[in-house]
Amino acid sequence: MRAIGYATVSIQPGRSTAQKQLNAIRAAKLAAMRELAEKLYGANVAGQASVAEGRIVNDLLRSEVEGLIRGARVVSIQPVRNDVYQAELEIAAEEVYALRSRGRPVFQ
Amino acid sequence: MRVLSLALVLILGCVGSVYAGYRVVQGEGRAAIAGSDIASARKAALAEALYDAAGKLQTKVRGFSVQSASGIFREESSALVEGRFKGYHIVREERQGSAFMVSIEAIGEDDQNSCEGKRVDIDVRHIGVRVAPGLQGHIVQSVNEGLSRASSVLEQGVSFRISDQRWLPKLRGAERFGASDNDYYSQLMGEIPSAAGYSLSGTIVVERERRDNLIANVTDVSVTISLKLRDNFSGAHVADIVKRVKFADRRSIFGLDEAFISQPKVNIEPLFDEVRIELERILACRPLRAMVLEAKGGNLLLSVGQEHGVAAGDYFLVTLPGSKTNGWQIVRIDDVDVKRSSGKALKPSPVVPGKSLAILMR
Repeated sequence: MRAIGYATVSIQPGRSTAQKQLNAIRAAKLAAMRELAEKLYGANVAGQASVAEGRIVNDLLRSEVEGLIRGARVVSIQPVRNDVYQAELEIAAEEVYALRSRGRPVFQ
Repeated sequence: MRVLSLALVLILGCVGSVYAGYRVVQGEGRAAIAGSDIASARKAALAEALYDAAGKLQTKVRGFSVQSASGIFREESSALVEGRFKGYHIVREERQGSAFMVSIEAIGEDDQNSCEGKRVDIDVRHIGVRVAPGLQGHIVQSVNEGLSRASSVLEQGVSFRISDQRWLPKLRGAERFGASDNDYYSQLMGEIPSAAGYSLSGTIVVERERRDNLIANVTDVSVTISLKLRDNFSGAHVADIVKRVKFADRRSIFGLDEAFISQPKVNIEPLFDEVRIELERILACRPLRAMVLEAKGGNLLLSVGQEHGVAAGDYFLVTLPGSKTNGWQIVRIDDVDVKRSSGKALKPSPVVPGKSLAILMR
């Protein structure tokens, strides 16, 4: 099971470019981790749309995810444009099976 | 925050579960070099690598996002890393431009799947039978017959394999000088001991109990199995298993010679079935251990094989207490025989001596 996450370098905290790049890598890994959790356990999605006089005035979509990840391996981390880092993570099939068989975790 | 996480990881590393399995995890960390302070960058990179490795053991991920017609306006994700390490070593560390990189290999404790697919050795040693005087001969015979079938009942266990050594007489005073019966007799018989396993020995006591009341003469036969489970490697006492069953013996009314029951049927096999269930409970989640029988260079021969659930590609952890640094070695299994397996040490040091104890890392 694979997932990809992206993060922008320039919006990261840090005093030097190197620090910002490393923070962007971490943020991209976390985004990929979140996508893995969504793929493994699904997500709670709630939406609300309002239409007034035939025209959409309010459209909200909220999604929540909660999951336990074990054994995630970094496949690649690379800059895709000047300001964006991409991280690709994967979990082995047997680990996916083991995590799914444990069921969705309940956190305090 | 990162320092706190690292401290938490190291503190948790000291309070690991006894029965946890182990797995090797790799971690990689990078930190920016501020000015020319490489030492601080290295420290930060190492902390990052430990964090990365701990994340592979277990990461709790939480996130939420709110999206409107104009796009995502709020998105948050958090990751809580939890991991316990037995130790780690640095595989590679180098400066890469304006950052410092550290790559580590760590032994992480893993509580998952540590109770399945493994079978430890149990040597069933001498089990004595003590019968109270006056009991009928057929009761004694039934107990002895039940005892002779004990191995076949215990062999049904899924998390252990039984080696019937009841014919080996008890070695007097063995506990005093730390030797086990098995070591002594196996040398006499030229057999390799299951020194990384366990042994079971004890007694069966058969007694008669009177429970008379005002009108009836009531006697029962009670059979008590008291077994001690010992660790063959350390000689330590692991558990006491005591199981008891009663059989109706004589039932008669005072003043009448006729008895309702006078020939109790004694069957102690169900007692050994209870012993088997107790052994499963005690041993199922304990890690499988193996003795290093031969060590030539980095090639090691271990005392466990297919019958113990070992497969090619498994990793064993060998801890070497007493050495100051790098007190552990990892052995990867390449060839598996029925009762033996062989593999290679993954690190150049420390050198694993023979008779070391190896622990299966799953």
